[in-house]
Amino acid sequence: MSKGANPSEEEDATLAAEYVLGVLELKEHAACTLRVQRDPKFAERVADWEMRMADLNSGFAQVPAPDAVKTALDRRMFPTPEKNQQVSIWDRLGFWRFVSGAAIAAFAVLAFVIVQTPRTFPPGDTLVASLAGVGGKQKFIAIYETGAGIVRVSLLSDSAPADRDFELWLIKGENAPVSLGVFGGGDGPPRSLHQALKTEFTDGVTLAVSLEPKGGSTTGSPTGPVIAAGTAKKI
Amino acid sequence: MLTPDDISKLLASIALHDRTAFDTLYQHTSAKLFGVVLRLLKDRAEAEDALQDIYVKVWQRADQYAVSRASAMSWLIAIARNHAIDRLRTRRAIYEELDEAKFIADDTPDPEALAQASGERTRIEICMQRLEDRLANAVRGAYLDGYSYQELANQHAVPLNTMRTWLRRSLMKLRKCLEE
Repeated sequence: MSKGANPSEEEDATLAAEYVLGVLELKEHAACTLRVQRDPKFAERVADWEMRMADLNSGFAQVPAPDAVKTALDRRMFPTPEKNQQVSIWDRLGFWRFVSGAAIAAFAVLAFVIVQTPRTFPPGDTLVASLAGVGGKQKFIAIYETGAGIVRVSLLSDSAPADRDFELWLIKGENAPVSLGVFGGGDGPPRSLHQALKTEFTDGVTLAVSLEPKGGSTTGSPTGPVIAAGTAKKI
Repeated sequence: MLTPDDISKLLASIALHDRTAFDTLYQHTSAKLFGVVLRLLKDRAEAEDALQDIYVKVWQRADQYAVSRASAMSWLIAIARNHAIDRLRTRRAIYEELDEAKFIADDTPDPEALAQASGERTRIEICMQRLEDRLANAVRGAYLDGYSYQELANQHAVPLNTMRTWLRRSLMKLRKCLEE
């Protein structure tokens, strides 16, 4: 291909620069915003110009935003306010309910189970992990009651393909993943952890879900792609 | 002060919908992004609204940062600038009528900028200096104040096409200079 001979390439290069500079009118600017989402080559041109111009960003002063903005933002994004330890688990799940419409339904069931049965468990903490794929396609929620030593996992998206299963893994630091059970879709069966695993399942551990042959990995380690991951948090 | 690496890590956690990471990111970056939208929109109430929209976008798009090559802070600023420019163009701002009193903190340089000014000049400043003054001012006016071709043409009392040619030429010069 001859060098610099393609006029549409040159036009694109100019358009990307004009877009980043911010001089385009409404329609053109909006069209470019859409194109960045859909056209990787154009997105790359835009990213190049953003890098070139980035030093001009020091021309923007820092101006503390009023506290009311964050309060309004929280109300808008996370409808249930975060309160202190006294509130019910249902209230503390406010954030997780935000995850998706499907999550609300799934949580209604899960939270009901948790709230209805606390007396049968020895006292302990509840750890929750929201597991999401990079593309956000597959979503899972895992809940672990430390007192009872029971972990439950719930699928908030499509079931596994007919010939496959999901397998939930616990990964602590640099340790090898440990299987927490296999499930195909919907809610996985509650699983009691061995004593040794209980000490491993703590605040901040990583949970991951891989796609495995029916019945789960035969090697004791994930063999299929990891389709979702997240961190367990005490609630 | 968070390092660029810290901000990248926060964005990775936010992609997994980690609210604590989101709160930390807001705490450390909102003053800069508010400065950006305030400078561009020149209206406090609208800037506050815009800031909310921008952080909703950050929450939704954090997973796209991983594939972006820009530094985390310039990625955030790009989201803020694009959103503010969308709003500016939508309301077809008539900047001449703006009350100067509304220009809150418009030309107060960032502490980082002062630090840079006292030390090494950034590459882009050196390259901007090679442009004619009026062209460098037009580039700054577009980038920092969100002026469109038409608005810049009016300010410099030149036809729209002249301004377009000036700026396109300036951008190509800048690019060449930055790549030297």
